[in-house]
Order: sequence, then structure tokens, then C-alpha cells
Amino acid sequence: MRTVTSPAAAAAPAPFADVPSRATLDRLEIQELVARYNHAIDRGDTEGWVGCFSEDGAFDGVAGRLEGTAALRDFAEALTTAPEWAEFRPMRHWTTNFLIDLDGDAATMRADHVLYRQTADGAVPLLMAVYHDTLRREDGRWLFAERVVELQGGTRA
Amino acid sequence: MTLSWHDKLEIRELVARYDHAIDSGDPEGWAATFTEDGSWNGGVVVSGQAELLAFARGLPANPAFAAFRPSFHFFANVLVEETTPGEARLLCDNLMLQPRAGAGVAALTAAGYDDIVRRVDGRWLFASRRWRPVKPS
Repeated sequence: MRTVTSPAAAAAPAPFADVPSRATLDRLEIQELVARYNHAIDRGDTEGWVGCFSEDGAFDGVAGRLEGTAALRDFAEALTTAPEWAEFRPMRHWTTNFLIDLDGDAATMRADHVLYRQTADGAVPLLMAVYHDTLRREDGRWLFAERVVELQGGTRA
Repeated sequence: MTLSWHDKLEIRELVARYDHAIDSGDPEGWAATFTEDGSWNGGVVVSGQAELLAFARGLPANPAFAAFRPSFHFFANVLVEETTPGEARLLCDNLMLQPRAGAGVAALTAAGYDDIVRRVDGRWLFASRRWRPVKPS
């Protein structure tokens, strides 16, 4: 005898029968790392942003090449609070077109990026770039070992 | 117990269903992304299926939202964290785009949502959606 289910339950999608492979989970976890990275820097969470990098992580972007936790933290604090970066704020990072190549506990990724700033007249795209990333899995967590930001023409260098 | 990636992907689809429904003028589809007692807070607070449906049906004539007609939601940066079994906090960003005849596309807002999603009869739904505008520079 069948148990009675509500119409909503009957309409629910069938549960996935498959178990995602490690490679699939790695891709999804790396995309989640990008979301954490974007949320952190957009909301002034300096430690959260630094925590997306490995300890020797490098960020090669709008402020030149920065290496290691201390340099990354200084930059993040300046970007989110200092007057010289005020023209970037408030900002929202948008990242898409993730291309991820896995190699065990290492990975590389290419992704596209546009940075918006919210003004009274709307959201203004400030710059666009291609991210060239190197990632490592440390203690089960994916982290950026290096982010190289290739700014595209016509945007602020 | 932590959320599986199946759950996380279904929650992303919930956001996509919400966006498609509201952008294409489908009040029933939009209300159906919420739980029975679900609430939406985008400056005004709308609670429960009856109010949600009435609100969505009234949107085309609602003067408070005239500046957003038409508009298209583009979400990104989805983060989901389980709070209790079957319930999770969902943070995501939303870019609101507005096509303007003969004048390209305007980006109205780049801001976020702070939501609670709940699994009801095997389906993830919004228990609450809270629009978090960004104070402009």
C-alpha cells in the first residue's frame, strides 16, 4: 500500500540517484570559494578575504603584486576603508565563465569578472578583467595560491 | 549534518525560478517560490501566500516599483549555510538590469539578498527573502 503524500510532495523533483564525483565536488567548491571571496571583499570582511588565500598566497591585481598574508591584509584594509580607494566603493564583484582544470590537490581556473560600484544613478561597471588563478587544496579546503587579474582595455589600471 | 551539493544546486535553481518568475510577470510562479508562511521584505513587508500573490499581481500597477519596470534579475555569489536540519541561510547578490528601448541597458542596482530557505516536502522554498540595498556612494 502506498503512503499518502501531499500534492507538493508528489510534484517534488526526484532525488538525485548519482553520487557526485570528487572532480565535480572540487569544481563546485572552487566556485563557492569565489562567492566567499566576493562577499568578503564587498562587505569589508578583510579576514574573510585573506582567508581565501593560502598563507603564501599572491594577488596580482590593481595594486601590483602582493604576496603573503600580511601584504594581502594591508591591501584589503586599504581597499575597503582608505580614501585613495574610495572611488571603488561601495563595490560588488561579479564573476562568471569559470573554467577549472583539476590536478589532484591543485587546480587552475580562468574566469571573467566585472566590478560594479553602486551610485545614486545606478550600478556603474568600473572595470572588467580576466582572472588567472592557481588553487591548492589544504586540509580539505580549496584556497587561492595565486590570483592574477588581467585588466581589460579601457578600464582603470 | 551539512547540506549536500544536491541541496545547494537546488537552492540555486530556486533563486533562478524566483528571478525568471518575477521578470516574466508570473505572479503565481513567484509566490510558489515561498513557503506557506513565507515573507518578502524589499522595503515593504509581504507575508503569507495570499499577500505574496496579491502583491505580485499588483506589481505592474504599483507606483513604488515603477522605476523597476521592466527589470531583469541576474544573481551571483550564492552562499548557503545550514542553520537547522532542513533550513539554511542563503546569501546572494543580485544585479538588476533594465533594457531601455533605443538606449541600451541600465544597471539599476548591484546589491544583495539575505534569505532563509526551508525544505518543505522535498522542495527548497524561501521562508523569507530580505532585499539588502547598498548605500550608494
